[in-house]
Amino acid sequence: MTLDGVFLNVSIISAISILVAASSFLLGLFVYLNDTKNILNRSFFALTFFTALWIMSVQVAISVPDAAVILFSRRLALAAAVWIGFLIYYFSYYFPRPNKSYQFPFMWVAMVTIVISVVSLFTSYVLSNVTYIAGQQRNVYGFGYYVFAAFFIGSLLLGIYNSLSKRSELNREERIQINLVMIGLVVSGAIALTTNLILPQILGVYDTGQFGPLAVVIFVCLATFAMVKHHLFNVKTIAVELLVSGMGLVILLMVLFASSNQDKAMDLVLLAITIIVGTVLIDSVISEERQKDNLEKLDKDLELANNRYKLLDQARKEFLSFVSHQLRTPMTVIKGYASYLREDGFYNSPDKVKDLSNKITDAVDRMDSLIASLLDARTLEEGKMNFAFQQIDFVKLANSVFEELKSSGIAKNLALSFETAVPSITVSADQIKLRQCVQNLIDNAIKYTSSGFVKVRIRTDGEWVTMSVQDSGYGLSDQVRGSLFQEFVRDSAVASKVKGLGLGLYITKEIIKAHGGEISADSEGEGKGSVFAMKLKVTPQ
Amino acid sequence: MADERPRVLLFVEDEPDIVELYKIAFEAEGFTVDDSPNGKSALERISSYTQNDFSRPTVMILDILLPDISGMDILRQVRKNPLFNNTPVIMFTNFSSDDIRDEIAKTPNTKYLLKVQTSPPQLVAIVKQMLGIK
Repeated sequence: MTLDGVFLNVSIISAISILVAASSFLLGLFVYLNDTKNILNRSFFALTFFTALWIMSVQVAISVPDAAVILFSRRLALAAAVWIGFLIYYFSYYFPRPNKSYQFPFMWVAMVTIVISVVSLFTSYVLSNVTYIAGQQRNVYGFGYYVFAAFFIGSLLLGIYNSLSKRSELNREERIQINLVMIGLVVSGAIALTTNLILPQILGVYDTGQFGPLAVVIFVCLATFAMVKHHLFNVKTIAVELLVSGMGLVILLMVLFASSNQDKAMDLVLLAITIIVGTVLIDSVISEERQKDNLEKLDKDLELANNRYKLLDQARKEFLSFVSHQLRTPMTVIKGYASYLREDGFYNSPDKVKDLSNKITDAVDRMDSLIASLLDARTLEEGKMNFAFQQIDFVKLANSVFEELKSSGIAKNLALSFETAVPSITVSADQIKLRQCVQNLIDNAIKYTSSGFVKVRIRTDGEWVTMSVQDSGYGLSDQVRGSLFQEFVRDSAVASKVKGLGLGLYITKEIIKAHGGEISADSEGEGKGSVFAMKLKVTPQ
Repeated sequence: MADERPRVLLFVEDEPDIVELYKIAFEAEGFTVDDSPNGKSALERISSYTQNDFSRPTVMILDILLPDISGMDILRQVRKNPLFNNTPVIMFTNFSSDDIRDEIAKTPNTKYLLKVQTSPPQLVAIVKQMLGIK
């Protein structure tokens, strides 16, 4: 059955083949236009382009009566098939991620592809001639045909290997995508190989060649399904684009094969309407998809923000609970000693009353210190802490803090040392705040070391000065180290290891940061001591 | 029930100021106060006692937020020890928690007290009541 048209004697099979070629080409084009920079999109487009080229070459060969054109078209089909083989291998290697088991041998595979395709197209080594027997075309192949067949079959097999070898690394959706694409390619390729190579050459069956191109419809359908249902290439509008293009193509064919000028004119009008309406439809679908994407993104952002708020709220509650616990300790001491004053027999001498007064004062000072930390943290949070920068001798400052705190270390029988590589070094700093930081680090080291040593060292490389405080104390687990410089300690189990309100190091960190410096903490683990270090910029002399 | 053993209190508390504060009242009432600043050393001490050891604690006061392990973990270990499964224990903390309160309510011969609400004389009175002594 044929369609008598303008200049071709076209069968129904040929018409369908042309449609399949156009669909394949358009599919690849839409994928490419979706992301022109992505190598996978580009290689997929190239694959569909050569597939369409192969189909059209075969169609030209069976539709046109000119012998030279037939021979050239047949050779062009073979050359296109070589590139299809290469692209199946290439695409399967890179999709969705490159195979880890080997490096793609691009240079020599590309060279072999170019050589075989050029030889197929321009020489008689692969296809030497096309003859006719009982009105049917017969290809007469040269010895190069076996090289061509081996290359194509090898590409298919390597494509299957690439897909199977990376299955374990892929997530569920990627596995479905690769299954659909590779099944489509391999089945279409295998059918085309059978109808266009094996049956004619090996079994002498020559009238199946025109059916080979139809097999490509399997690849087109499976790839389209993968895109629509399983987000292959993230092409969201492919269905409507293909539908509109398909409709346009069918109407175009109707125009080409219209029997009268009146029908042709009507079909042309219909084609114009289809193009206009189709373009508007595609635009609106793209716009809708974009809005949907924006809404999804907003939704995700909102969920993230909500989760963050919940975490912060939880941290705030835990922090408040912890603050109340810490403030209650000095209050317990004050109230406890006050209760002794009410009881007879406990504090009945001036010395004991003085001792009690000292203990109550110490407890009040401790509460005041805790409250001061809270206020400092609040000021830092609001970015309102003021600094009075001046040039100060950092070695002198650190040494004076060390001397002040030494006695509490000596009382615990700790070995204390202060070493400095330079006798003095100048930094630009707020003296009071920097002193607070140095005090925090040395005081912590002494407090959290029950036996052993506390070593304070100052080093400089000319540009930076680093003070490190090393101790043989409780050490830090990874969990505690992660929370050390945070404002809110989230876990009461961690919080119990961090004395005071746990704000000292946060405040120290923020002050050092405001001075353009850095602070760090390191430890080999619980019970293995720790090293805290602060780094400041040296004032050039 | 009272017995003839010495009044020995195991006080597991990491704040020296708190230990010193309450020790005065207990020692004035004839208690021997054995204090431990962390959970691990307390557990080692508890597991070292034997049936014939008359210096073993007759009452325990446990802080909850300790530097190494939770006081609640110590309580659970104490209750598994046959020597101490009925020893009066006071969970002594400034940390308010309904969950901890509920767990302690289900544990026999165990109380949950807030430090800031319990002066030293009051704590001594509660301990004496739990021991059944005047």
